[in-house]
Amino acid sequence: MTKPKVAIHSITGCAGCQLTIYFVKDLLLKLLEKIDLVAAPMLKEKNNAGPYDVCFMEGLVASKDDLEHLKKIREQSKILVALGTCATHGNVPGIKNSYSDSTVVESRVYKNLNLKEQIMPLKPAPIDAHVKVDYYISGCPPEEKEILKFITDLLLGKKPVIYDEPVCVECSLKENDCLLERGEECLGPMIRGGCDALCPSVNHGCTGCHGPLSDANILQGIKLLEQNGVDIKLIKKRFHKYSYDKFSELEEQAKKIKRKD
Amino acid sequence: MGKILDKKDLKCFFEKLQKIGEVVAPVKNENISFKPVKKFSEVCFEGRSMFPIKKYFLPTKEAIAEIKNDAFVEKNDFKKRIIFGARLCDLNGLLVLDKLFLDPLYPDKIYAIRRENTILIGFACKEPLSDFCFCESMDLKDYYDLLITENNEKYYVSIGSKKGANLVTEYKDYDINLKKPVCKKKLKNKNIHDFFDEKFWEKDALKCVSCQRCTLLCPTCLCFDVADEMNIDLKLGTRNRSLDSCHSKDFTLVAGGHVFRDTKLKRYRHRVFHKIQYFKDKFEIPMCVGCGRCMEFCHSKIDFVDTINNLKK
Ligand code: SF4
Ligand code: SF4
Ligand code: SF4
Ligand code: SF4
Ligand code: SF4
Repeated sequence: MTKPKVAIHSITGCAGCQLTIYFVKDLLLKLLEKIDLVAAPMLKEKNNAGPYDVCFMEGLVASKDDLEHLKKIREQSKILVALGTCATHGNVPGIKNSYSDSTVVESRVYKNLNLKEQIMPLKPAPIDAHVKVDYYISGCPPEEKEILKFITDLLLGKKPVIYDEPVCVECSLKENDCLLERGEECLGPMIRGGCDALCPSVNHGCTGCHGPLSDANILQGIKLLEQNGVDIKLIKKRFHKYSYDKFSELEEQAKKIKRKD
Repeated sequence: MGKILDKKDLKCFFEKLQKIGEVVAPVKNENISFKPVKKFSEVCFEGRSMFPIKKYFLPTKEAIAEIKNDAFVEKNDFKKRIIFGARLCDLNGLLVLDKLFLDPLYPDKIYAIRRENTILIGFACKEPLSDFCFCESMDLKDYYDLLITENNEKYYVSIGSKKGANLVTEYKDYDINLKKPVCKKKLKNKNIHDFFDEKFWEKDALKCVSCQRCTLLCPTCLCFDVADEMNIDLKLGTRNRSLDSCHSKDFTLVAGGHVFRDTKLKRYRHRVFHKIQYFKDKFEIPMCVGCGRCMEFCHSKIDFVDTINNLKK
């Protein structure tokens, strides 16, 4: 069997998602027996252009450079995987979208707004706002075990299924005492798990780093938090931190359903 | 009819059990949870555990086989275990699981071995442990090896099986009738066939966040998923069985990507029908044992009993 050609590329982001892969140490060496890592600019000196069988794309689109790079990579990749919450949901840079006028933010960050066109900020957006994405592995950073499972499934010729259950599932299976029930703040019911309920297991409410569940019940989720005395402004801030666009979209959908009733 | 023990006897009895096998009992930390216990003083005699005892027969996730270079090696290790302090609702939960997993046509081997090697000792509830309990409506059976009822520092042990009787031969007999708990909450209708229409379930479903706690924490929910997990070398791995839930969108995901129960309403309604109607139609007893967990631990406190009680054409 010829080894699949795999690439790990990156646009605007902190590189933490890639590091998750590089940190699997001994596993990485075993993995390299199975795949041909043809491009990983953070790890290797020599990096090949496509075609790639699989490309993991980290980061979000925030500049013209990003966009051109992303489009080129998409054309060269059979399977494109959005890796991490920047790529899947826009993450922290997406907070900017909660301002109606983006120059308010930009003028505070850059002394001189006459930037070169290539690095001039674009509206921050997850990569599927610009190209077709085949799989999404969210997480800030994404879970090592989810990435490994994804790769082994592909190597076995199975269609990977990405876990899409709320944090509450893994949390309840661990028999954690529920923070929400104790009157505290936890976004668990609205957020995609896969992290083994990392935060609630150490008594810290989930803040949503995996982005929303695909069919999250946002209106009820907000209601539950408000019942616990959490301020709606804070709830929105939490949502916007990781996933401004998707939450706004889910909120709109939910309101429409409500109006119909 | 049964045996009577005082507090000292009960402690001795507990220590005797420890010689037979691993004793698991409710332990109270932040919530109540069944755990292996070393000392009698660790046992919590109040309240009911958040997670039911089904985990000792159908673990939340376990490897049922090792995969070694394409061959399957079934796992089959099990030790003697004594469950000390289960409530009658949980014990009746096993009656429900038994119907399916001990079906003579399709017995589940691992489950059967665990059942056979486990001694079931219950604590009777003198009164409902939570406002959501409605076990009185569900005609619970005397399904245990022994059931302990505390009354004025005396422990009345009713005998439910020969296995149980053999454990308490040396104690004195009693002959009084013990009271059963009276629940404020009642399920008034156990035949809901006529109420399948969406309109009956809409209001509840709007509040559902798909957290799945109602099924994961239910003593009789038994649905599971089986998936192989391979190591990166692709040679060794495990075949895992893990708890699943019909409140998950992917529960009815089939090849090609179609999802049959694609709304929270369909999923919620299905759960209620399985609990109250479908199982009973097939096995004569309802699947629900009235423990109340699915309402108490539901984030939105969706109360299917209330909803059923108020169903009107
Ligand atoms: S603590 Fe949070 S994640 Fe855990 S069950 Fe409660 S709401 Fe869900
Ligand atoms: S509990 Fe929430 S915030 Fe914590 S790792 Fe999981 S998804 Fe991220
Ligand atoms: S209610 Fe749902 S999870 Fe529970 S046994 Fe029935 S189908 Fe399975
Ligand atoms: S359906 Fe609810 S009340 Fe009935 S046994 Fe399950 S958790 Fe308990
Ligand atoms: S516990 Fe409540 S909110 Fe959670 S899935 Fe069940 S009905 Fe829905």
